[in-house]
Amino acid sequence: MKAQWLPDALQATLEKATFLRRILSALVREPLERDELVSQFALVCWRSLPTTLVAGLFTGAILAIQFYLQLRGFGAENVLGGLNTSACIREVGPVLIAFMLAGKVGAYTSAELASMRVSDQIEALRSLGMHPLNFLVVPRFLAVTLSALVLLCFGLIVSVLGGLAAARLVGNINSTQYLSMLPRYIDGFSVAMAVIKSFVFGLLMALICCHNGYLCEAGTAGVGRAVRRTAVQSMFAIVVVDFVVSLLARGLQS
Amino acid sequence: MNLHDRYDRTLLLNVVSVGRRSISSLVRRRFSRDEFWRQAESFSIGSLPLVLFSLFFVGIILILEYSFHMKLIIGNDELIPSFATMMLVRELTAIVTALLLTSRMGASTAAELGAMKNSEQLDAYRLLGTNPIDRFIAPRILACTLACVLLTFLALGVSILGAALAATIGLGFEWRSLGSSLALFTSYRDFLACGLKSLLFGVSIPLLSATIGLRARPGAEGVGRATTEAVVVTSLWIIFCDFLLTYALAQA
Repeated sequence: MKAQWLPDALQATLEKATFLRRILSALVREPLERDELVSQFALVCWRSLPTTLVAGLFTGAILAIQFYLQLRGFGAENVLGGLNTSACIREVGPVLIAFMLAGKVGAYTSAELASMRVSDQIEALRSLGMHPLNFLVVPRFLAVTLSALVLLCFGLIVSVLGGLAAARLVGNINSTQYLSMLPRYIDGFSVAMAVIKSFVFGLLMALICCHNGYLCEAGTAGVGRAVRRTAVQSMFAIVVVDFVVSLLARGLQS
Repeated sequence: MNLHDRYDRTLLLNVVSVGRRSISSLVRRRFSRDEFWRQAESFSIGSLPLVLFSLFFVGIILILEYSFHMKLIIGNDELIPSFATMMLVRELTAIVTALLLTSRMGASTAAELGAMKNSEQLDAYRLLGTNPIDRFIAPRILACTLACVLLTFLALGVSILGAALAATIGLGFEWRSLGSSLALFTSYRDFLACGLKSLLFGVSIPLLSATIGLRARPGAEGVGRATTEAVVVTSLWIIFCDFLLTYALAQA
């Protein structure tokens, strides 16, 4: 069935790169639609904030329980706070929350753009003399990128609280003890890594959902296909980029 | 399902009623076999590349990060093969596989059922005497449950393989260290927990997303909303369940 997935993947990557170039050139050449950008940004943040917070909270809690079970065997429960927070913000948190956002924000944005394309609204904008890429895609691209960054950072902060609560609940580790371990194991590098990952994941999500939505095939089936393609491509991209960033960070740190 | 069915009550009630009727359809074997095979193929083989590829990298990343953290905390990383395999078996494989399946299949299930509802195809099926639950929902639940368990265990193998490769090439462990730590540190209970989680997730994904699809409001906008709602509700439910199960198994 998928006999040629490698050429397909390469082609999809190339198409994304071309589309990114188009977005950037529109960004540089055309005036920015400030109102649209601000309203999109507020909309995405507001809609996805509860989801992100719940996801972050439980991610932190689940990891804390697992780490507690492992550390208990060595009598090292007191480092739980540092270990859990570090693992959460460097690795597990960004990936899980980005998965969630890709399903929500990415799917929504690409469905919106795709239904505009299918119902010829994009052509209508063009015939009115507007630049549809600049009017529709550039604000969404920027808004999704920025709001993913903001949301991921919020989610990561909440994951610390989730871990704290779970440590209290399962391991009877009080919060001062838990928090006292944070400065020892979390340095600027880890925080920078979390922020960089959040930014890159947001950028990829935005690019993938805008591309698939804006250049969707005709018909309502095309909308569905665009949404599914967005979900699958975002997940692939997140996993691969997470791997690359972790590897680079490892190289830099040692 | 009868003609008086309304999907405007709370989600929980709808899920319970769709679940109850799907179970009876499955137990009495009224569900459509053709649809089951079609869905089983789409759920399992269709998602195979995505799941295996992602989990392979998850295994690699996990063991590299573990090594970093253990060096930071204890000063050596001798124990990480066992920690990484424990984490993969108990926790990460099941939840990551389920979240991937949710995005790939949950969204399309909700979109398909929502579109069918809005274009009145479900009413047409009912008029022809076909129960939409037997025809569309029960087969999906069975197919997705089987596919989820199957994929989780395949993904477990692949992620441990990824971890073993990274440990051998990147960290200088012996190739066999992961196998021996798997035998030493994980018991059948961990695998049971993994299977239990994937079973629960596999039932939840189609049940929740199909019910949300049936609740779609009119118009393309309604289908779009149902699609995102399906992904969000199902993902949050999976994370929440995972937390509860992890907590319960930690107490046991």
